[in-house]
Amino acid sequence: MTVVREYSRGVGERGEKPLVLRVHGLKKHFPIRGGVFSRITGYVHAVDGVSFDLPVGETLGFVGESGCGKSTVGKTVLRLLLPTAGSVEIGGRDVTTLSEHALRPLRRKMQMVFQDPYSSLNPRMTVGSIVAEPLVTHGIAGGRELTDRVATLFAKVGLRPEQMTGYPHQFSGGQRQRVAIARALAVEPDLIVCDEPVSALDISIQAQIINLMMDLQDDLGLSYLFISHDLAVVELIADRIAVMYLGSIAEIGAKEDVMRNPRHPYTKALLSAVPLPDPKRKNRAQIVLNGDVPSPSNPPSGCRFHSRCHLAQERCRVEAPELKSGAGGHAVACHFRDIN
Amino acid sequence: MAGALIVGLLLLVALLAPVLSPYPPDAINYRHLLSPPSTEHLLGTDDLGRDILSRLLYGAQLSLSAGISAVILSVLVGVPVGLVAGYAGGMTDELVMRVFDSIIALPPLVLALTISAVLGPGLVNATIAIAIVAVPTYARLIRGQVLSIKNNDYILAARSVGVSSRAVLFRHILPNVISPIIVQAALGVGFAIILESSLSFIGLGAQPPTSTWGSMVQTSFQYLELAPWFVIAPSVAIFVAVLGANLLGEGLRNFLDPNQKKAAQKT
Repeated sequence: MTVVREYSRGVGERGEKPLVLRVHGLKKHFPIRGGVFSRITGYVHAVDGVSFDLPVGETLGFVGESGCGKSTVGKTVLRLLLPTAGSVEIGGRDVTTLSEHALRPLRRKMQMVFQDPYSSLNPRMTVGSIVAEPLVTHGIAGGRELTDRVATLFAKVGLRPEQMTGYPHQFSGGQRQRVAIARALAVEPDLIVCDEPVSALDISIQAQIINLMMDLQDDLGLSYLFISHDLAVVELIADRIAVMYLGSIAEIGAKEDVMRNPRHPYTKALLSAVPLPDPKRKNRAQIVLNGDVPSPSNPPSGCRFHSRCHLAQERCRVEAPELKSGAGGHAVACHFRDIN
Repeated sequence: MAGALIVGLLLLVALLAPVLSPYPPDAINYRHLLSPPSTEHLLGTDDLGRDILSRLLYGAQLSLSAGISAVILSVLVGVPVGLVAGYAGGMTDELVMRVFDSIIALPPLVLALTISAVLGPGLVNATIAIAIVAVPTYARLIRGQVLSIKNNDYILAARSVGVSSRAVLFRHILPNVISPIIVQAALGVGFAIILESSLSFIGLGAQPPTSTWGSMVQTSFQYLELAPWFVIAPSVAIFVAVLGANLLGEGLRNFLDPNQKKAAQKT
């Protein structure tokens, strides 16, 4: 674990660290049913060819608008959804082809923290038994040891062990999210997929939860796949950031590269939309996107962003740009990545 | 909780029938045929001189147990089927629900009548018929509940931990969908008592000499002009039982409503 800690905040030296997660060409298409006998009339291209690596102890932030497929990436990685195509390797094993039964031992390695702590905890179970369930399911602990383990987990996430007997409705949003984190930690996973874990919380509580997650990462060498639409939160916790647009990655790279030196026009537009608490910087160049996100059931031809891009030219309508890697693993899917 | 009180009292009376009854329920007395209520026979006697109060008390045992066991039977079948159909979805769901739709399409009394005619007259067969008629109600109710909660994150969370489907169904889904079933079951007891009475009235339920409230109404009907008090006693008993079951159901609904519960805990 010491090795991991040394690297955990490092950015740049890519390729030396072992990967906890490797996703290649991931696609998830949802059928649209309609008409007589629920025929399949089309597909929603929720995720359309996403590839990325996640080294041990790092955090990869996924940002994008609502409906861009970032949550679907998270759920497909955990095999809560079956991918349409592509591979997901967890600790070197492809989980896309495994049966549910063969997958069970691997589920110990990956866990999830959900957005809404009000719906992610079973209202009829005590929070203690919620946290204990993974331990029982995987036969890790029982009896006296189980209670001790749950108490330790409660302490680890900043809850009092006496609170174990309470029901979820007796807890605040932030406390519930701590319970959800404790449940995710119970099986000592390598990877935690966090699907907007703080966006349902108050700002002050958000900071607490983010700090808790960063402390836990340092202590336990966890890797996070951190999904959010809040750039400020992602900037705080992520080592690398992937910007998604309409089911594919527009830009991916080290946090500093993406935030300070964005190359994709969509990333630039997103960053220029972040409000700055500085009244003097009124005349900042703003890129305002026109129109709405096109329907993922009928994505635009060529570059998916061309219909809203201020740089779009004829080529963008026809040819889809590759996600081309540059220095330091900073990859941009734009024909004009070097011009702007 | 007036409903609980009524139902509780009725159950107590049914259980204590041997103690409370002034006469054996089938003691024939030819000197008192169709006699009006008196101090000797509080509710009068029937066409064979049997004490109506005693028959009513013993009838309560059969009527209530038929109603309750019909409901238990249909809950035992309907709940697991609806649970699985709702959770599995797809073809399983379609198939099960279309079968139940076709059962619901028939009027309940006609269907119960047909089934008990096919099975043959008798209280047990009538109970089975009533149970079959009521199964789709429970299955549909629970399926709807399952559909509304199965995409909750805590179900996903359990699956992501690797909890087996059976444990997800019984540990995470069932406890969250069971309260409307309890309410429906309480209401269903009233409905089952009416159905059983109807079947007995037609002659497909309890066979003589045993009598349920329904078969007592049937017999009394022939003497409506001669002995009007004869029909009143069992009819009122049916009415009170059904009313009690409905009140109990509504009381349970209010009690189990999570919003009201939360409000109660705050105060």
